[in-house]
Amino acid sequence: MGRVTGVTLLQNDTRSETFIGFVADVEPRLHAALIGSWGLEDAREATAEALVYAWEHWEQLASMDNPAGYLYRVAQTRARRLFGRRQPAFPPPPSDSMPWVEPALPAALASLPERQRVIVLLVHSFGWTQAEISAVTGLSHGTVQKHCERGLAKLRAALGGEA
Amino acid sequence: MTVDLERQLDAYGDHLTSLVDHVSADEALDRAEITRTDAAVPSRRPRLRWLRWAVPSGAVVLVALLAATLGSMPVSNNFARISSFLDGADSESPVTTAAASETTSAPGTTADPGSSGSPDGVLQESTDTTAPPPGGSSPTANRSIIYTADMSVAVADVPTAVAEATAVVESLGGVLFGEVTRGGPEPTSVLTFRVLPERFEAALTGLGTIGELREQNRSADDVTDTVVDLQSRISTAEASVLRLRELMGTAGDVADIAKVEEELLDRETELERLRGRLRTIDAQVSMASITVTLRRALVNPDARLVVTAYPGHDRGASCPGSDTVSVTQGEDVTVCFEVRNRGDVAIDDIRVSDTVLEVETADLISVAGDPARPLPPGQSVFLAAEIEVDRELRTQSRMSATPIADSGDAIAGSSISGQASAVVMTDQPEVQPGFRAGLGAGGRALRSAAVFASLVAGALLPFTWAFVLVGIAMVWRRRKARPI
Repeated sequence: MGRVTGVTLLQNDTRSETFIGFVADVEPRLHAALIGSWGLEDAREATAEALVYAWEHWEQLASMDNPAGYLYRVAQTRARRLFGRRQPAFPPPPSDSMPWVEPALPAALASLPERQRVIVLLVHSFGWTQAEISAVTGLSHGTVQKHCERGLAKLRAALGGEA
Repeated sequence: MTVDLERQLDAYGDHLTSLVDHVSADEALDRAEITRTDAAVPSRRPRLRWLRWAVPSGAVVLVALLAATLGSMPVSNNFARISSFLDGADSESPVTTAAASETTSAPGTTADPGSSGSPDGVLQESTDTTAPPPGGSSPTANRSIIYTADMSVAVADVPTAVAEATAVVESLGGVLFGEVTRGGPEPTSVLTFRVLPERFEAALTGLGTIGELREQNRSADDVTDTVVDLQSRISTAEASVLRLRELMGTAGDVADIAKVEEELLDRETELERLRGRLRTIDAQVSMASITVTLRRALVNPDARLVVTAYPGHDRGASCPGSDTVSVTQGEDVTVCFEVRNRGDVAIDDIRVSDTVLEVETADLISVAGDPARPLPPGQSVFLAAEIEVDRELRTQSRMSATPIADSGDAIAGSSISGQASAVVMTDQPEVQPGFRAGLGAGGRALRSAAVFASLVAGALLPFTWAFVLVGIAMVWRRRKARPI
């Protein structure tokens, strides 16, 4: 039966306070890393799912060295369960404020293999360092570099072909 | 291609970042709350998880089945021979070895889990914190206190007691919040009531009179401090929201407005969270909750079988004998069976059988008492079997009986059974097995173990493909689950 005492409420409070701090720290990174795989909307859903998981497994997570990387994997598996293998959707670039961005860029991005897309976006669009990418995605330095170069080359080919 | 691709990506990234709708901690908390409270939504977790226990337990069941089949096959004769050899090997003085062993059990009716350890009818009452709730305008009037009580009541009939309990609470203006009823051998019903705090005491008294009160725990949690704290935090948050709203009117710069708006949103969500918590506590304070567990008042049927034997035939007149008897081969022996009712209800339909003597209740001589009539508590019925001994034997006797209520009806779901044995020895004990015989028995034991092992292996072999498939499926699934 729900017997709420002052003590348990207090505990929940401090717990949620640290959780809020944790979310502020991890959420932006997690969210950005997931956009490459799932597109804007689904990435948000996946992030939320992972944060719910984080709250429910708080003790377990608190003892981890790299909770962001772990949550990234949680988010990926959850998203895969929720959305299956769906092609991510990217919004078109605003033609008024940045007319010099190719309108075909989102489509070209979507056609990249998942890893290349994630890494190209993180490196060139969100300006992450390779170390940050390795920490969250768990990929090695070399892999990140390789996928970044290949992804960029493919993008160039796709856009150049259309232009 | 006019502009460098890297620059395009960078600009596009800025655009994406501006579109990102961040997930706040509060939203995650809310979602967690929903998934936890919404029991109707089955969790997505158990998918292939069942395989983790299904495979090993399936294998165990398979082996158990095999063992059961083998047990009824000739192999068991070997085992029996081995065990009898082992028995005989360490028996220096034959008389001391065998003693009558006997066990009785009355499944499902002996223990009352509610009043663990306490004798029936003893009331355990523990009051956790403060005194019982107010009669009206006591000093607790403006304090916030959550009253809860758990009680366990033994009743004659659970369904009628449920109706009575509900009537009692409803007459006091309370509500039935939940009911979990279980039938079967031990019918129980767990009811959850909510009543006004003023009626809390009356409801407890009323519920206690439905049957025999076995256990009652009540507690009063004073949450006044929490409530006051929450209220002050809410008013602070309200003031800050108001201030921010005013600030927004005066802010000129777009960046300033955005900053203030962001801050305002944070404060407002925090405010809502605090208000929600206060509402939850208020709801708990305004209604006291009582959990009542109704159990059928239990009886304790018990009976015991004692098997004895003595030399000679006199239609059981000398019963009881002793649990071990020594006679010369070919002599007459009478085996006595005593069924004693040690419970607190009468038992009926008493059956005694013996697989070694191959006798049933009908074959036995009634010495005292009649097994076909109800046996009152504390009394015994004696039966006897007359046999001629051609070898040493240990009887394997079983007894079963049905407890009956005062009305004469059988008490549903309860039955008593027990087993016991007596040993009849012959004066010329069998020759102690020598080294040769021992060697032979050891060889046979090894051989039957090997046979058993090869049978198990053979039975599992056709399923190898299944294990391999399951293994592949697990590996494949794990690979699939790996991110990008």
